[in-house]
Amino acid sequence: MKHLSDEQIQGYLDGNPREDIKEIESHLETCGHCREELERYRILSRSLAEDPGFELSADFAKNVITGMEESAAEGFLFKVSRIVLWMVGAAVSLGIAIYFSNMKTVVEKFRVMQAEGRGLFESIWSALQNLFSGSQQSLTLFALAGLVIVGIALLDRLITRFHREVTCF
Amino acid sequence: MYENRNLVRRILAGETHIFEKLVRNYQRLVSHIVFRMIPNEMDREDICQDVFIKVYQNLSNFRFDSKLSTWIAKIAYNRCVNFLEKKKIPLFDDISEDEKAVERYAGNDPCPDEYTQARDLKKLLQREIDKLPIQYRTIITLFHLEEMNYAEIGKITGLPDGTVKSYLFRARKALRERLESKYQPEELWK
Repeated sequence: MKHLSDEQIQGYLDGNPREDIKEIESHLETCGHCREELERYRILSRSLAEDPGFELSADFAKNVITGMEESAAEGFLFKVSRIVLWMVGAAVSLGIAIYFSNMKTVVEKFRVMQAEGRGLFESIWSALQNLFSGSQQSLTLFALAGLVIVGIALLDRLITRFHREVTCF
Repeated sequence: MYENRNLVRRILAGETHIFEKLVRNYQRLVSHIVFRMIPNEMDREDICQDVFIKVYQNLSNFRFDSKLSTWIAKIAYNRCVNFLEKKKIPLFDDISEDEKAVERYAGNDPCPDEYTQARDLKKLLQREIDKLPIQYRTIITLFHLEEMNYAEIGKITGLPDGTVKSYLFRARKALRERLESKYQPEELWK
């Protein structure tokens, strides 16, 4: 007599819907070996369903709430540090721009325009037209600004990565 | 289901103290997954805590398109997988290789203590389960302890239902073979 396969026995025990369920049941009625196999799996499954006794500390739930509060504080600190980083970056970029531009000329031009009684918008626009003189300076400025932006992005990425590692799930 | 909806709604409305109730409701589930998957005892409770913080942070994204237990179990599973990846601990070893390693380490005979415990199948099983590949342990735990079906386990582990079933069958068969190679059938199956 051909015995039931291991898969048939385990599937039957798990209550899986099978087309050959009637065949399996009629075989089990007549075959002591397969009934024994089924019984062993049944005992095994019953033991596997017993609580293994994994125990968390008694104040686990309270510790979670404390952890949540700390995590929220960390999240706030993370947001603040990113804002500060970008503000510092913007200040550095602006500093570079001012350093490499003809800011003195711009201010002087603005004063002259104002003295001539020109409108505020016209004075600003005209003064700003003197901001960069010569393509060499413009290129240096753009290159430095680009470097600053890349630097900020890298720092931002590092902070984000560190934050993920701290609160990684 | 309604109770869970109410619980989630209240937590999202700012009643954070209600979250403690949710933790109490699901800490058994989370501890079963984490304790089975994480070998180092020292890390287990911290990871369980991380899981619930993650649950809290993402609760607003939960849309009740699955059971809350399945969603929380998935977070616990993913957290453990991330942890194991960092520690370079494989989630799934070939069982035959694993068995060889166990035999190399401890031999195939039970120690005297094990003989005295031979009648306690539960204790013997815990010992043998710990020697199974982590993926097998997880599936056995979700199926037998948490009474989840193949589809739910598939959702949690990201495995197809057929693979879940196949791993479960192989895990139980491996447990039986390991036990039967060490103990007499009449000691085990009574």
